[in-house]
Parts: sequence; structure tokens; C-alpha cells
Amino acid sequence: MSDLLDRRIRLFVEELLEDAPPAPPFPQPGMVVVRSDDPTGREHMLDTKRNKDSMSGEGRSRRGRTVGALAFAAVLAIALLIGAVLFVAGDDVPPAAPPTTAAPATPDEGAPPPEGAAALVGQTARASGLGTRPDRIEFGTEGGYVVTDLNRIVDTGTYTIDGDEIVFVSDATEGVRWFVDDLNPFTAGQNTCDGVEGRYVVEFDSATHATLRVISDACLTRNAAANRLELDLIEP
Amino acid sequence: MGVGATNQRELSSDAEIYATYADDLVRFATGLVGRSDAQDVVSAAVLRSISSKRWSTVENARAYLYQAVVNQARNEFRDRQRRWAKELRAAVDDRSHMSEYRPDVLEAVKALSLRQRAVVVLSYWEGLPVSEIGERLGISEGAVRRHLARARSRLRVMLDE
Repeated sequence: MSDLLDRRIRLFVEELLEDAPPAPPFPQPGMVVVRSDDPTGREHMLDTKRNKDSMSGEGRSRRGRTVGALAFAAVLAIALLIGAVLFVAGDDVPPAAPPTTAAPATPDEGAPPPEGAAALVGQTARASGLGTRPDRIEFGTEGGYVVTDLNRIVDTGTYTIDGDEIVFVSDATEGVRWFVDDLNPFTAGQNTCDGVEGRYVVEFDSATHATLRVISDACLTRNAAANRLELDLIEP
Repeated sequence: MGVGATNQRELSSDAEIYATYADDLVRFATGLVGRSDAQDVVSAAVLRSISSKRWSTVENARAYLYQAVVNQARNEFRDRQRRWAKELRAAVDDRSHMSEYRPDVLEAVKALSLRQRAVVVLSYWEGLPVSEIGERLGISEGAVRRHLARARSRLRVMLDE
């Protein structure tokens, strides 16, 4: 049965990978990759300085338009906020303080840590001295992992891939994300492995402490690390 | 030696590394995101890797690039979901993910998570042992076995149908 399944999976993989496209040209630094949705085969590279399609020289990228729209929305929101404050405060508004050149506050510079997991979302703290996996995770005595240094976390949340809830935790180092497969944050989640169901709880209980707790893990219960869940680090 | 010469040398070295692994990376990416997106994923992953400050200190460039491809593929999924939502609202034609595949193959692929696809491709296409898959993807052998077991379990159901 197992051999038959392996043969079928092998055929499935061959079907999946046959006629794989050729490798694209070496991507040069200074260029960014844009999607090539156009079936006529648009150029993949975009000159970031000119922000124009390097082949056609026309138009801005989707990313460029998105950034522009976001910037415009941010400016508009700030203008409305200032207008609202001035309107409410009336004549009591003190003269504006002179602009300063101080750098944005970071966790290391005395800024108070955000409270609760919700406050972590969207934070833009600058990270320094980040370690690798062993520096960021401690094995919890109650099972699962304890993630430390959440002061440096800039974003947490979930998204769904093919029906799987994926937890992601991003720190301020560009591109580094922690992904926890098959977990449903803040509530009990479950997965299935070979017909066995497992359940998990993710608790972000403060700004500096979160526990990824395994109640029962479908596959790992049969392994040595019975009450621990693998927390994968994907780089970069 | 000037800075420009140094950069040129690094660029040349990066290009050689890319030339060595590019075909394998594209095939790997094809198993993750399909033929139509594989090139984009590899280009973006390689670009991010060689632009990273850590790139010069990376000892296992191949493993690093494979992990970058997985990461980029994951981002691609997220971007794709947002894009699809927008496109759906705009009522443009629906370019289904991996629509170039047979429906049964497509359904089987969709049953797997991204990490499960990765371990299946490396195990069944490249024939790598668990230890090497773990090294290539930057995860433990236990995690590889777990993902492989789940993938087999799901594929068993999908391929039996």
C-alpha cells in the first residue's frame, strides 16, 4: 500500500514539475521584480530609480501606484486630523513647536512597550542585536515554546493558505518572519495528522511574553518532543 | 582595489552561484506555486537574498536560496489573495492559480500547505533524505517528517478520489 502510494505521489510530482519554465536571467541588484501577469510576456525587471518599465518605459508599477496612493492617503489623514484638532481646540491651540530632528523612538531608547498583542500590530520599532532561534525562544515548562522579545515584534496575525491558518510573527529585521504552521492564534486550533487530531492554543498575554502552547499535537505526540510544537524560522 | 571593483567581483560571484542553482530553484518553485509564477518567485527571492546584509556571511548559499524561495512563495500567496480579492471586485477575468494543470493534480496540490509541497518535491523529485531536506529548508528532521506525514496523508485521500 505504501509503495503504491509512493509511486502515485511520484507520478503526481512528475506531472507537477514537468515542463518547468527555464530560469530567468540573473536579477541585478538595484532592480526589483514585478509581476508578469501579462501573458504576452512583459519584462520582469523594473528600474527602481526611474520607476518605469524598463522595456516599454511607460507607466508606473502597481507597487508604485500603491505606495503613491498610500502616501496620499496618509497625508490626507494627517491633514484631516490636524484640522479636526484645530477645530475642536479653537483659540486654545498653543503655537506649534519647532521641528526637531530627533530620531524615532525605539524600544531601546525608552519608548514604553505596547500593551497587548493588538498593540503590537503595526508597530515600527527598530530592532538591534536580534539573535537566532535559540536566543528568541525558550522551552516552556508547560509545553510549547515561549517567544521572548516581543518588544521587537512589529506585526502579528494570520492568513489562510489552502484552508490552513498560518500564524506569522514578523520582527523589525527586514524579511525575517516566524511562521507557525497549523496554529490558530488567540483561540484553540487543531490539526490532523494521519487521522489523529491535535489542538493548540496561542496566547499573547503581554507585550513581552507569548506562549505557543501545545495541548496535544497530532504527529509530535508520537515523537520524543511530545508536548512541543515546531516553530519554524524562515529566512531571509 | 576600488569599491566598484569589489562590487563587480561580488556580483560576478553571485551570478555564478545563481547560474549553478537557478534551474533547480525554478523547478522547486514550480512545485510550490505553479509554472506561471515560478520565475517571478525565484527572481524576487534571489534578489532579496543577494541584497541582504547577511548574504556575504552565508555559508550554505543553496540552503539559503531554497529557504528564500519558500519565503517568497509564501509572500506570493498572501499577495495573490489580496490581488484576487481586488480583481474579483473589479470583475475582471479570473486567472485561476495553477490553471495550467489538470484538475485532479490541481486539487491535490491545493490540499497541501506550502511547506508540505516543499518537502514532497525535495523528497520525491530530488530524492533527498530527511536530514538533507531539513538542512535545505532550515527546519528540523522532526519537522520534515511531520510535514511529509501530513502531505502523504492528504495526498492519499486526494489521489484515491
